[in-house]
Amino acid sequence: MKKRGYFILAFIIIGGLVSFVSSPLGGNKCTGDEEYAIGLGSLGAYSLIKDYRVNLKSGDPAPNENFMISLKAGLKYRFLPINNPENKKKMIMSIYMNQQKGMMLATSYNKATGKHYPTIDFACRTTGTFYVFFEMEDGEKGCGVGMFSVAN
Amino acid sequence: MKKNKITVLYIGLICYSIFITGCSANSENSVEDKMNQKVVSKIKVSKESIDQLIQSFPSPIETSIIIKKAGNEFSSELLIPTKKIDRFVSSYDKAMAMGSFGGDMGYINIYGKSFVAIDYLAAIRLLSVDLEIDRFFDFEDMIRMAKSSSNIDSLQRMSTESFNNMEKYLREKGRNELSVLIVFGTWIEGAYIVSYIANDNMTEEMKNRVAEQKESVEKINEILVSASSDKYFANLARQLKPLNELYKKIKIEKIMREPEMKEVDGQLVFIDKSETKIHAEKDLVQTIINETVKLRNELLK
Repeated sequence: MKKRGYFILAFIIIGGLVSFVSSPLGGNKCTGDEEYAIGLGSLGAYSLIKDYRVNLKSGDPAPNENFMISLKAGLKYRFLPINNPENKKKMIMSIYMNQQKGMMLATSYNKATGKHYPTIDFACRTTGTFYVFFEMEDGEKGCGVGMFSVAN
Repeated sequence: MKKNKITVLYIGLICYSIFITGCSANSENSVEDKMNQKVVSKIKVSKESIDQLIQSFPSPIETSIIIKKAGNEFSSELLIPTKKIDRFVSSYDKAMAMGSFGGDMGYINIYGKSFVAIDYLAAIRLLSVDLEIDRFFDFEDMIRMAKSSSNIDSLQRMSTESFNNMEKYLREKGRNELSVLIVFGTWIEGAYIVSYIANDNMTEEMKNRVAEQKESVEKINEILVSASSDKYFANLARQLKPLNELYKKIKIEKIMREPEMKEVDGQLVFIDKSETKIHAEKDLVQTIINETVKLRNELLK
């Protein structure tokens, strides 16, 4: 009888823990909250404009998420891609002239050297609407946060 | 006796696990449910269009940095009066006013005038309570920061985060009408500040800053017209029409060129080589300034 009681107790505790982990209070690998905090710490003399929580599936060609942004001539912008530590490959943040990836204005990945950069600075001379794209290198799955900021 | 103890423990643990799984969602869901039940969006524009519109509008911070960089001094006369908040009666009026006060907060923060911010935070608090979106703002902390001029950067960041989270939430919950009006309010206040300054000091840069609002006016007009089955939006579209017609006369030519890329101290820097040519007569820009000031004062003063 005592044994049965302990069994039930163990079952409930494990069940409670499982529920906790899957609940909004528990750990969620891709909430982006930790990446967001890291990004804020890297902004320096730049002011946050927007943040993007990105969650990408694997695929070929690499799936992307894109968002329309407005840039103003005469201002200096900083873009930060912040990777989730569990990403196998790094997230690439790029700015394009339009949604069809017409002309690339800036990117965090130099394809020629294979180097990723933690920030991209963009000195804007043309006011207008552009697109910020997120994708994972080699079309791997992954998640992270992108930050869009402006120099004070 | 032992059996009873185990039963009590058993029940206690079940309650505990139910509490753990539900507690974080409960407080939010009750508010969300309430909001979802209360309002059905009247805007029939697709979610994608609304998302794009909202994302593509410049933030009040950018507009304020431009004004500051052009050498203009801070002027509290430009701001919307915070007294008599009850002049904003409907939820639509309140949403627009909230956006405008948010625009003013951007201007105040960039100039580091935290002592002015307190009244604006109080106004935003009243409006957000009425609109049931006050939970996105930690007003106690923000007012504490405003009282200490050394915390202006934190206040600015917190204001941006609060407005971003609120706007995202409204869009996700399909409350597009409030989202659009908040964006509209922020935009018209920014356009007013630029116009007011350009009116006093019509430099080539300020003239161009007025002219480059063309894209924003076109976008907001498009959304207002497509939402005009709602009387409020139809009226707003009618009020914006003269300004939109004036902006149609401005020609903006963009010459896009590949940017220059260089690595500076391990960071990648891109220098835009594109060029914008704005064709706008001074008289036309002056008329636009007058129309912008008139519209903003009609809607918000």
